[in-house]
Amino acid sequence: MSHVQTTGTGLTMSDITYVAGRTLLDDVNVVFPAGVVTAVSGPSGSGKTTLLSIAGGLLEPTSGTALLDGQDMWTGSGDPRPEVAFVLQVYGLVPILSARENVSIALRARGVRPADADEEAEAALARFSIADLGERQVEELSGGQMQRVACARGFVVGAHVLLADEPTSELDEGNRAVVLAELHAEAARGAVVVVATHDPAVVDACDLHIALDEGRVLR
Amino acid sequence: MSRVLRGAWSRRGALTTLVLMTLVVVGGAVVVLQFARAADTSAALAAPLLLLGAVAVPSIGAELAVARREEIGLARLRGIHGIRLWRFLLVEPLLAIALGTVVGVALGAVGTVVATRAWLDGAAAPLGRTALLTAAAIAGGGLLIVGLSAATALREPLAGQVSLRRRPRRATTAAIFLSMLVIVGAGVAAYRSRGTDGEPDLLVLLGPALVGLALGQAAIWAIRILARGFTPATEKRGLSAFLATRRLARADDLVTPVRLVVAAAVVGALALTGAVSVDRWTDTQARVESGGARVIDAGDGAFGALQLTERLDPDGTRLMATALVRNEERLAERRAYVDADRWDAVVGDFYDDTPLQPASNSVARLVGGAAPPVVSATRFTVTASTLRKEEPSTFTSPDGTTFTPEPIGLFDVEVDYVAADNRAGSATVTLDVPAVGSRDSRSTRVAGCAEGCTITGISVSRSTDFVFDNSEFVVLLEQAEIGGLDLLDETWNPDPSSLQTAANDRFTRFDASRTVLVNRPDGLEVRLLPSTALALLLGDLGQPVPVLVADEAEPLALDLSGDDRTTHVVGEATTLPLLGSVGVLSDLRTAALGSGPTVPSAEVSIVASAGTPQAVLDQVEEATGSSWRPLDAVRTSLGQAYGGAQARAYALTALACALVALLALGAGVARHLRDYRRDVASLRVLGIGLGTARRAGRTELAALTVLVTGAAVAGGWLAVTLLLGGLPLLALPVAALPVDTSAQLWPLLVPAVLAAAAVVVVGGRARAVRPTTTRPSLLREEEGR
Repeated sequence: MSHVQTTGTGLTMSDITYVAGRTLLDDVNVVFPAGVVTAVSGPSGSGKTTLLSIAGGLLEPTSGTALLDGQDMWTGSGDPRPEVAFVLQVYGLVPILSARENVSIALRARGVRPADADEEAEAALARFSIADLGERQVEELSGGQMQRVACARGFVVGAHVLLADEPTSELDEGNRAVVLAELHAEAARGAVVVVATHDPAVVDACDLHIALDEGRVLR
Repeated sequence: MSRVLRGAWSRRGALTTLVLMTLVVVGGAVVVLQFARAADTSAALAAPLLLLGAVAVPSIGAELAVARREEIGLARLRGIHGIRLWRFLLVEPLLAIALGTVVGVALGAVGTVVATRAWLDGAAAPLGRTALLTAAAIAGGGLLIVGLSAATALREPLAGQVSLRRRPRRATTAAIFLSMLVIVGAGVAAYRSRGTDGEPDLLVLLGPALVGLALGQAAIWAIRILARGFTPATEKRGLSAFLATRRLARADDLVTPVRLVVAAAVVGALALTGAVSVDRWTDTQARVESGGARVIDAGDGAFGALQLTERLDPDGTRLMATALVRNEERLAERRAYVDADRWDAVVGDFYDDTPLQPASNSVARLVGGAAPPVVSATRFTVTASTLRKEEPSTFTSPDGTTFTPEPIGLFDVEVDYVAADNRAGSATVTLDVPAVGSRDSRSTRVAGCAEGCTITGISVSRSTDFVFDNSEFVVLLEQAEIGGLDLLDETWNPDPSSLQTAANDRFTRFDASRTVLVNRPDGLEVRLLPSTALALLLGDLGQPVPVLVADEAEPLALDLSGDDRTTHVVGEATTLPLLGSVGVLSDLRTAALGSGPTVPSAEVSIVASAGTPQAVLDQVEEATGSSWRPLDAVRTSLGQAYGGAQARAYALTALACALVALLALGAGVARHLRDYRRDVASLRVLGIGLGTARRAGRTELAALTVLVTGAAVAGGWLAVTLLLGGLPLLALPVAALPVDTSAQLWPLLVPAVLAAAAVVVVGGRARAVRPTTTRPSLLREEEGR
């Protein structure tokens, strides 16, 4: 991991402190370079999800900045920038939509025509071996299936920044390998890919590793 | 106990809903039952409320069970099963239901006092056993329903209960069966209501709620199917339309409560239509019964009432006498009399825009032109002379004995009258004119006529002291003066019955074909009958009496004393003033002509026009010893007499049903509000803006509003058309107007619009997308759970 070649523009987080009742992040300075898969690890409550939320513009840091191409990730509303895609730990799927619609709506939100969005969504689901579940409502799916739908949705939009929070927590080994391969494919096209994880195997499969504990960067 | 309270506090939303729902159902039932008891109407009118409550409670029970699924799972892991587990599960709802019941009973008692004071003008009865037992039954039923709903959670696999993820709840077979049962029940209720004769059964009383629930269920199915069908079409209309159709097709928060909202609106439409029908009936029937803007009882005699109106209102523009003989047992003789000469001036536009208007417009045609002489008198004076006088005939008995009466010139003139107090009276003058050319004038005291009396006839007879005398005796009555009126100014006719009686007398052999009476300019020439009095009738008495008729195959025009008169039907109407749908209406003066005293069963009244001066009204009150009853008073007494409070009781039920529906709608929204906000947050993570989410919410609400309005109007129309005729709105009196129970626009629209407004307001709050409450960071692990 120390011999990684980074390309393109990275996401720089400088002096990030986030306080919500207690200090969740304390003066964090990290750079997530483009073209590589960066792992953020740490025990529960160490601040991984908060770091990704600030990196994606969902949270405004108490102090510090998160910049991409010189632009602050915090837009003032809590909405992420268009160039950011998430795979959330709680999946963030819309229960009134089917698996395919959950994926295609992410594309439609970016202006893709409905028919094309459906087609791409089918293909994305197929990449995660759940094409046959496309018409199911997401509440009918198992945890692992929902997680793969969330991955398909995050990956399908081709965002410049892909932030994945525990994307393999409920997956078996085979599907974990598929997800990791897709993460690397995203990085290979020049995206900033950040994965928050507990899983040492996932950490090992990533190009860079940042360890957090009690809101501080250990390495 | 503190653990129970802590647990209850954490589920305060669902428990508060359960408390409020119990409170509304119990309180509503207590009010309806107590009000029905006070108004002497059916207690079963509360049935729709109980049904809607039973439909609303399961969702609350299910919510409680879902909220406790993790606790249930942990309890099972700790080895708690059976009764202990049930006790663990039901303590909270039991406390909530008990609290709701107690408060509901208290509020119900207060509501009863308010309702009875407002609508019954009386004191509320103390809480009855029925109301208390019903409240207890509602509490028991509620706990049972909550328990059954919780059983679903108990049956869930342990792994599922301890899982953090919620699974969608599918409609159970029992729920689908119950939905079908409701639809079938609505059909059966509609069928049975048509055969209702008298008191309807419980199913018919449940009918409005069943029809409403069936329509509500159909509306839900319709919107689910339509939303699914329209989803492809929304793709060209952008994400907001797409999201709206998807939510309508799959989300529960606003769509599921539609069933109760529609049901409540249908019950409301029925109650409102019923109330409007009863109000209209009461108003029109009150107009039928009162005959004018205000009415007062005038004692027993129509003659006295006529004289009173003449005295206090000589112009004939303010007061009018009427008489009604109800004859509810013998409708063929049901009749009423009005002073037709005064009708237009006194009644005016009182019947305009009512079913009685055609009859009212025809009353002027009843005026016959004849009226009985009315006088105030203390003396009756007659002057007469003899025109022809034969010697008495000689009678021969069977044994050959002959007898010749002494020539006598005595004869009697009697005047008959009815006094103001409805008593018949007469005064007789005996004159002595023994020979042709002799002349006599005599006077006698008249009793009971000083305050006025109506002359009904005169009679002339020989004063022969039981001696038969068939010799010709013709006199000229030159004057018959009473109270300043010379009766001989009137035209008189012999009473045919007098002539017939004389002709039937075998001893006198009277020739009935001979002229007995000549109305001369100088008096009245009378040929005295041999053995009987010659009754003279006022000349117009033989004329047919003009009548207006309602539903009488062979109309009879009886005079005030009940004697037959010749009838001339001048018009037919479906409804007549004073009489309603059956009877004969004629002119009071015409009916009084030659009539004896008014029959005792007659209800004699005086009607006053709307603008009658208070001084005149006071004089009438003083003269009659009664009090005026304005139209409102008549209306109120009719409502009380014939069960008009039934519609009020139904309105109370409808109000409680509306509260149940509103509560269910609010609870449904509150239950899913957090999920909805998380959905919007999820969409925002994907880059879908707040504007799109808001437009989707508005589209969803618009579709639901149209749906609810349509379903409520359709359901209301169905319920009114199919059921209202079979519900006991009123105990109709004999010959009353029929209650018009047909559907009317605004009573259907008002509940529908209110239901739609509830959806808009409550749904609007649910779909109020604020940036802070739907921020994507909600989905962070720490905040999302």
